[in-house]
Amino acid sequence: MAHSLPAADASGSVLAHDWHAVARSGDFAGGRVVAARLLGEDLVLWHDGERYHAWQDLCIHRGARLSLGKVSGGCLHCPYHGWTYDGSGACVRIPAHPDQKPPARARAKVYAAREAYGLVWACLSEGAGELPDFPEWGDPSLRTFTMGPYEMDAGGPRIIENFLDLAHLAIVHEGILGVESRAEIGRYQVETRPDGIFATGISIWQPDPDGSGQPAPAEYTYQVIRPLAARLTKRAGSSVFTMMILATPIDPVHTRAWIVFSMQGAEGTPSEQLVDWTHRVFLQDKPVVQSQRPELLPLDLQAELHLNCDRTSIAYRQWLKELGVEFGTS
Amino acid sequence: MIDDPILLREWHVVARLSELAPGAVAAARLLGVDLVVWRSGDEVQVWEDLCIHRGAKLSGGRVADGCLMCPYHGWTYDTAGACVKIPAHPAQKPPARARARAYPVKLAYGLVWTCLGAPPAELPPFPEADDPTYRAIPCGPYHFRALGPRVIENFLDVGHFPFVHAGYLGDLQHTEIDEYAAETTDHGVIARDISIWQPDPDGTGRAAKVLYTYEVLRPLTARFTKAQGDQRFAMIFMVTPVDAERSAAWGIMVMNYSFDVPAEHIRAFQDEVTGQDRPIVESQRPELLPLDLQAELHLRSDRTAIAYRQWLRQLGLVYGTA
Repeated sequence: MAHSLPAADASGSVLAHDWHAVARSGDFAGGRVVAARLLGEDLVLWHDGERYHAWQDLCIHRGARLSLGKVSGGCLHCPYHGWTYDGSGACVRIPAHPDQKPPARARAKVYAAREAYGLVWACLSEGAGELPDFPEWGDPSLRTFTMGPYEMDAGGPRIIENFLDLAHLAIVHEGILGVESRAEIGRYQVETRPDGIFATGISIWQPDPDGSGQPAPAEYTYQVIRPLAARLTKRAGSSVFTMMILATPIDPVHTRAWIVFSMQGAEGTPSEQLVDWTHRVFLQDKPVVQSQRPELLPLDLQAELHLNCDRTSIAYRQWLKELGVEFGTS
Repeated sequence: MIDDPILLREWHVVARLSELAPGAVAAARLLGVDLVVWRSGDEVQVWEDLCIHRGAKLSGGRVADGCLMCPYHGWTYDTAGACVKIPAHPAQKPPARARARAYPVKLAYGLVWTCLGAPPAELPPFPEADDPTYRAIPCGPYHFRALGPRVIENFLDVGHFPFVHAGYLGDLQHTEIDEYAAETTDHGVIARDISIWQPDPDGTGRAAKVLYTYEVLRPLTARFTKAQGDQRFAMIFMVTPVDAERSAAWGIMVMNYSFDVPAEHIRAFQDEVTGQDRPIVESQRPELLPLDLQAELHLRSDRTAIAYRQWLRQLGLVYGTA
């Protein structure tokens, strides 16, 4: 089976240089080996007891998937003939020829891997920069959560745009994040800076802004921090809620979405209730986003209709075009 | 969109009216185009299933005050397809470009029909539908992972009865097909006087020797009449080309006898018979019906199929053929 990068990925080089969440840290308990797919590339993810690894999911000997193998002695063992790879990706043992030094070409293709916010991250290119910043993580005064993966039959840009969208709150999340009788979206500010897009001055009256069930006007700030990562901060009543969405591109029209969020205040709301609330809201969006056509986000602003309330999404499309993101766009 | 010059100018069935109550919204697919079918009062609309704002499927929406409301941002379209309300900007007049793409609609035989191109004036004729001496029993849609020409040809085929429908439409003791005549006309194909012995010709359970007349009315619409004395059992069969892999077949059976047999019973009989055909038709290769008569083998009993292939070639049907 061919494991080379498909053409779609070559054109998505902007995303290939970015970090993407590929698994939850908890997936690796008991030495489990995890398979993932990123930008059309099959990955094997494993933990050697000290570090996380993200490799091409292929043993060079006969092309078997290393993700079907097992971890033992700090090495990854191929399921087919037991070729054994150490943490650097070098094959250190070939059971059929225990006395022979494995050939130098017997190496796994190694990608960058890291762990943060309860997630394992991978980057397919050299010279990856910083992870998307979520400074709330690790702040002992906040409750933090990681949710996902949500398997979406939709491209990443459509998912991010839905996260940034205000006008749907009163329709899709009626009774939670808005009410149809107060669907009007007032003026707000949008600014594109070198480090992303900022939308501020957004105020929306919400029946249940934070899972507590207490209605309040919510003040939103949005930030697009990466082509496929965005965050919002919402102040409602006495709580401050921060949420980051990560859209990991499997292929141009399939995505694994993750949510990292923090809550300050709302002490009376149990954590399970917060998670349920977030889950419920996300599942309301899912069928609508999956129904959107074309699946590839049109960066030409003539292709769909844009109103005042859509200024964040206009800025997002312009920014993607400027960055040259071709994966999941048209 | 599947760009077949013939099928783009045909009426196709996309819904059954009795299953589309006032205020209902349904999704359909025709020639690779996603459609939303919705009803307000007695008016039925068939539109492209897309809101121009963010491309969401309108079929996920709902009908309110005689308008269709997009599920995403509540853009509200009147029956003419014009957006009349944008909830995020209630004071703003919706832009002129905010329109749904509407297709023509005809309601006939209890079915909703549409056409993606310039529609012909007439639907396939089925006079028994309006004849009070008959009762009509709708059936389907039957979903096939096969294309219309193969599905229609199976509908026209009599040689398979003893093998695929043993005990119903044929019997292994009576496999021989007598001579019959089939011809291509200006309007389609007609095959007459096909005599078949059937253990249960119509779901009533009474064996009889029946005389079939088959007619191909449109490229993907055919009918038969089965006669036993004065008794007539007829069926029209419309195949909707869903996309490049799939079809949905809609039928209407009519009969002028056995009014005591419940309609449910007759429909269950047809469901059973079509269920027997489906795996065979889905297994046929090539999937595209070869219009070159050298490509498969044809016997005298296949005259209707031969005439059908010749007629399709004459028409220039591209979809589902090779």
